[in-house]
Amino acid sequence: MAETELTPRVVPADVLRDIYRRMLLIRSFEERAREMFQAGQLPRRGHLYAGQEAVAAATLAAINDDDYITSTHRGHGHAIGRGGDLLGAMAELAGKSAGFCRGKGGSMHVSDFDHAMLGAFPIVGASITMAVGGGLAARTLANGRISVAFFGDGASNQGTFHEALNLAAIWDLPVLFVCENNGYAIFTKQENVMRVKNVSDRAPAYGIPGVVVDGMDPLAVYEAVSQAAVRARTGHGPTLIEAMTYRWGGHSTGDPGTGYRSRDEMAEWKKRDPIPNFRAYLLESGATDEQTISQMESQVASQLEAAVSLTLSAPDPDRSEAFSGLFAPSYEPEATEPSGEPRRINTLQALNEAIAEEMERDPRLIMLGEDIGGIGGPFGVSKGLLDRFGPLRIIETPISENGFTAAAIGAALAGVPAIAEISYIDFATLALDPIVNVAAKAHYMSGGKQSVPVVIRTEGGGGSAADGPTHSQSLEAWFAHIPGLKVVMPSNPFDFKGLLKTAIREPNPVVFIEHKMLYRSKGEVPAGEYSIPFGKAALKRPGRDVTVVAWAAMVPQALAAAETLAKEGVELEVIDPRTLVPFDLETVAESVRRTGRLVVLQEAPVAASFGAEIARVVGEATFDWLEAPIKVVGTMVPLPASPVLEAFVLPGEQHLIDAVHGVLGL
Amino acid sequence: MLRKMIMPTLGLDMESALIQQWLKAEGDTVAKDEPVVLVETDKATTEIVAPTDGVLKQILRRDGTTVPVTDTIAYIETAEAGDREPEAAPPLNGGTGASPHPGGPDSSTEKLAPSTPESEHSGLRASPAARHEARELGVDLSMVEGTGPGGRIQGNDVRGFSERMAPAPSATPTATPTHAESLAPMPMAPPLPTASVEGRLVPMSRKRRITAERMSLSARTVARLTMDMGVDATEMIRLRQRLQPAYEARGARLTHNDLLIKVVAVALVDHPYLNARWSDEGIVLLQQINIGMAVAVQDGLVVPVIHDAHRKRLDEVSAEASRLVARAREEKLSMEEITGGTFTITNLGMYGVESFTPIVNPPEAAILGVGAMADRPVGCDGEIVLRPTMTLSLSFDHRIVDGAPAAQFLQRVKKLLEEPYLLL
Repeated sequence: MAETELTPRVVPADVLRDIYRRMLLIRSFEERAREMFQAGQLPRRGHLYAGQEAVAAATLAAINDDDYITSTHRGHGHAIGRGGDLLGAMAELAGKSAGFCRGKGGSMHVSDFDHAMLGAFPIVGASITMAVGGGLAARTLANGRISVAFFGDGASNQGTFHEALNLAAIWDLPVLFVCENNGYAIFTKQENVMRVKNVSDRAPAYGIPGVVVDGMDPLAVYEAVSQAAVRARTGHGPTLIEAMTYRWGGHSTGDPGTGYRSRDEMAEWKKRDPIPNFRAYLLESGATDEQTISQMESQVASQLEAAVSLTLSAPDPDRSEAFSGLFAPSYEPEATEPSGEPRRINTLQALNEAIAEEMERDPRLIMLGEDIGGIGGPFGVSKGLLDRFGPLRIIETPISENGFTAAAIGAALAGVPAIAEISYIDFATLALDPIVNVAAKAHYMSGGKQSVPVVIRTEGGGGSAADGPTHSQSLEAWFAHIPGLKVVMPSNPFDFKGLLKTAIREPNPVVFIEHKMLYRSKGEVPAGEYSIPFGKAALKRPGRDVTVVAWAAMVPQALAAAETLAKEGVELEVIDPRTLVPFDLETVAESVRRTGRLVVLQEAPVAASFGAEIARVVGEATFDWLEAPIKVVGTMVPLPASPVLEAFVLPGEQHLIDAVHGVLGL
Repeated sequence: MLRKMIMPTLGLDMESALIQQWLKAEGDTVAKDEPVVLVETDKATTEIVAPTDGVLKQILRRDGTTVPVTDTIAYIETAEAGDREPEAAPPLNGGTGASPHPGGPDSSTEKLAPSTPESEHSGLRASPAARHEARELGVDLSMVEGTGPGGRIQGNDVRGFSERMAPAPSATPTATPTHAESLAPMPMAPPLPTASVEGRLVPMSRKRRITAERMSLSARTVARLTMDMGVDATEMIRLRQRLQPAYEARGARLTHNDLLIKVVAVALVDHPYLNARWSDEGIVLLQQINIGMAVAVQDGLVVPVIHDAHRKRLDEVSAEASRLVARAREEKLSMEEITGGTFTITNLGMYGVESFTPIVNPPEAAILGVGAMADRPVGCDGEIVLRPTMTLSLSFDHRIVDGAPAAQFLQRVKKLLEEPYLLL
């Protein structure tokens, strides 16, 4: 099963010439780029693809031009091999606006977004999971496309390799995993870090075919990819193709590549250079003649010259570029009053309705998560939705937080709105790479060409008197810290429903955090359609003495404190920001200008927290109105499991009352 | 809310004092800085003034009792909204029980012995809101009592202060309010019945109000004594003429005032009691010498300050004085530029005024008035000759400094002006 027998077939001459042309474009570009890096004409360094051209060129020639591809830090070959856009690649290396990513990505993110390339993902192993997202998108849209992951032998030792291959296998996704085995994970020899001989030996563990091909032979690669593509397109699932190849240079242009590779080894591989060898083959086989091939070569040379001179003469990007394009234009809810009879329902029902209504509205919308089918997830949010929308849209996943989160994000990059449910926010630790390095960066780093309509729904917070330190955290500040993510933390059923609908319609990644102690709390929710704009705080209670900002489960605590303090004659103004990013500074600042005092009540540990961030921005905006230092109420220990200890540590009404007394000097 | 009134430390070696006589009875209205009680120490009999406006709520230590310093002797109920201050009856044993004023201990330590004139401002606890309001309303924060945690001045303290200083809104526009009437909280005898006189009410600007307030404070509290001394200005004029071309070459200008500032600052180095401040705890001899110059501006008076004038060269003093006067006229002076003064010079000579009795700028110890410079007949070697002269009028707070040392200071100033080469 490790090696699939290849059936030789006749490859048309125009395809052979096409493969040669793609290799030539890549090689010419990379050689020129090396000179330019060395001459200081390009900034810093790049990871060159020279030597491995046969893999990209033959793979891309064997699939359709609109099939999804994902790439790595060594991605010039895939981007150029796909669309042939030398200027887009060269200008990107140079950090100019004419680059693929408007200069915001650079060498490691070179990606031809206009030609179905989902991105270059330089955190090793991410291209594998992101391609699963492409396969998921193809299946959801039923557009007949396949998705191809390029990655190296080094990436096959990341957990993402395991999660991605397993996900694609169990869902029979149309995905090709193309491992370019150049023998070295950066500087480390592959045989030193793998007990099996070949990466493809691992394929049987996932129940999929694994193939080893000569990566220096374009025809071998072409043949293997063509067969795997047919298999994928016809619903038979993914294939792992391992192409044995070699990089001419070092890991990057800063590395000569000689410190850990022998000269003999390098010379041996160079004898197998696919470009002169394939040129000779084309002439011998009669697929082309000297005149045609020379003409092609001079065309490529002049195309490269044009790209270089346009790059060098292009002005640097305008500085305003640096601050533009963090988010795609936001979804703006229509300012219509919610219609229909208000009903008293709990948060679980409100969330369930929001997801169901959005699935009805947008047939592309999918949701992934553990156990979300039968019981509707650990808390029952999606109960009944599997029956209603089927397993192609309500997708139950293995316990693979990184894999399915990345798959959801990859699908979103391919235009499929997706919800990933991470059962507990504590598990998001395993899924930070796709959220932080892919979803948050994509719109900005693609120069606005990509958007990421994904919602990371997750549960967070303590108070269950059972879950303890690793199932009770409040990690909102981590996400609010990352430019490019929106963070939503509702406090009541009405907000949960209206804000989740907005989150789903957002073209930007949203981290939607649901507090476990709020799932069963009830509130009035209208039967009719409504959604709530982001960045609009809710005034929960007006008061003249102290402004209190609280969100999620701290809102009821703040309101209880306000009730108690009112008996002392102290009037709290309680504001629920509802969304932390974007944060409604204006509403809070306006309030603080009236009261002169602000206390933030949050469940999260205080250091470097979102409460501390509120203190920063409100302090700047209202300094001249402050009567007392801004206080942030919170803890700095994990939440202990003991119900007694947890109740003592968990911030709430009494902590807030003490803090309010403090700022008033009572 | 209730504020406590303590037995102040009136001298460094004072440990207690005898309450001789309460000047006010329980229930009487008292104004800030109004004498409330006479106390007798081993050195003198002194009035103790009210720390705040309000009503003398309760006297804890009756006439004839000896009270250690810092013990509470009475409670004054202020007009401040008391909703955050417990209304509990004050402890009858006086001061050893729980303090009804949460900031009591804090604020009293803060007031002790400022080491530099700046510390009174920088050590002052005021919320950003209070500082903002004070800038807006033109209120000197050092005059405002704080009611916040630790005695922190809050926005409402500043607004309340400003409102109390404001003219009563019920004033009839046809009446001409007397100066005293406009300063509502000041203690005053019941106004005599006045015949109705036609007039026009000019509402007070903030600047007018502040000027009025500070002048009243001075008149009410400072034991003022003024002494005059004539000065021969011949050498001073000559020095200025000799130096002027060099100044003009740099686009600058040297004035007699610049020389006066420099001379006064140098003289103060050896006369620390003229460079001092009155405080309830004692006399604070100041390390810095910061000379204020009274500058008349539209509808009031501002006193920009030349800091560390004794350490600055004459050309530096001159450049700074001319810059400050220009900024004063443009009404652009910053808070730093009008605070921290330790001694003030006021010159009315340009109006032909021969001499006058300046009002000390509290809490400073003294102020020097400068009269008109003119050729006047003087006796010289048995003959009457014309000499340019002027009269210096030193007003000082007799509480801080006595006549003889003040006269010695004035003599020193005269000497330096008549022989300015001594400055070298």
